[in-house]
Amino acid sequence: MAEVEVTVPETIVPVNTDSFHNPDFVIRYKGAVDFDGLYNMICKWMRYRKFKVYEVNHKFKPPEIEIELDGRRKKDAYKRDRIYIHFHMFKNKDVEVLRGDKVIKMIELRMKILFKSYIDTNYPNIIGWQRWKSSKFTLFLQNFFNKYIIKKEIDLQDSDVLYYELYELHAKVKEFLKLESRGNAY
Amino acid sequence: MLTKMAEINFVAKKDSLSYDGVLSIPEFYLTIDTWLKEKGYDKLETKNEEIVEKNGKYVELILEPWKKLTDYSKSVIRIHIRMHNITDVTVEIDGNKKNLNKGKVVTETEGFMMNDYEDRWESHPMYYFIRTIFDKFFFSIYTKKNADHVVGDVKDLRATIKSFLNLYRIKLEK
Repeated sequence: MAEVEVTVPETIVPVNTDSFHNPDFVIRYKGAVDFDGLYNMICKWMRYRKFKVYEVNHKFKPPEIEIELDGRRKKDAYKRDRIYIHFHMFKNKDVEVLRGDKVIKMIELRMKILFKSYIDTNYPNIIGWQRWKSSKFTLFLQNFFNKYIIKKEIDLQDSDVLYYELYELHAKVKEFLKLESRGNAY
Repeated sequence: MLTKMAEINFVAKKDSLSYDGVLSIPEFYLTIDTWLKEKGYDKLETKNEEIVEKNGKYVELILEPWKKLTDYSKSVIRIHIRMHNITDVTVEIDGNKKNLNKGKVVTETEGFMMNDYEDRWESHPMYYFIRTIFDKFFFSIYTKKNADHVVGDVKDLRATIKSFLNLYRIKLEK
């Protein structure tokens, strides 16, 4: 059978700067946690702030449990806020703790919670189409727009506000877990 | 995602402060947080770890707050706090009972300046060369001024932490 050589097309796609990422922060905890209460508290907090909450990943491989939450909030037709929370836990055992008169079911575990936030530009519509990625020229326009025209506006008005909003959630999680380093002056 | 490689200059050497005794850890954390807010630093808590053990809690915090001095350089203070064998105690101060914590606290602070944090002058060797020449010969006054600013902030933070810990020492000695 004759071998057919297929040459790779010479198209150079420019590097795309779609999102404006904020620094991430992490909480690591080992002890007893009311995980149902924590999960409900985080989801309620996000929904109250008009984020649409999606559980994008739920891995249950006992004793390892991994849950990923993605919160999306549209700002306008071009940009939206995104919050990403990743729980990674190793469960030890179920425990029952007496708090006052109530018996609360808790889980003894080692847990790492990763908080990420970023501003997404040119997000896909309901059918997954991104208007500014239709051709190389529009991609170039989007890069130019993001890097030079709208950058300062997103950094000061959107990115900074979202970053401190996520810190508010971070402080609430620390209060819920009754960590010693609780409190937030911002 | 491309990682940004900024130039880091350590201007304030790492200094360690150790305290063994009774203190309020939430108040300690809030004191540092309030200081950062007052000085105009943006908060970044890179690590917050708490492990509940038989002898008490082990708490480790790494804070790296930053402040943009110009669009070229920013000041960063790294605060590394480790707390060992933290237990809850009830202490009487001035006739009032207070719930405090007891244990060993070790605080390390260091300050550095991050230049070209947006990575604009490292994309081409010529830009890198021009940047280095300007930094060393033309803008050395501004670089030194910014470095002194960072050193001043780090010293002020260390003094705030010392005075907070001394406060508890004096209150309990009374």
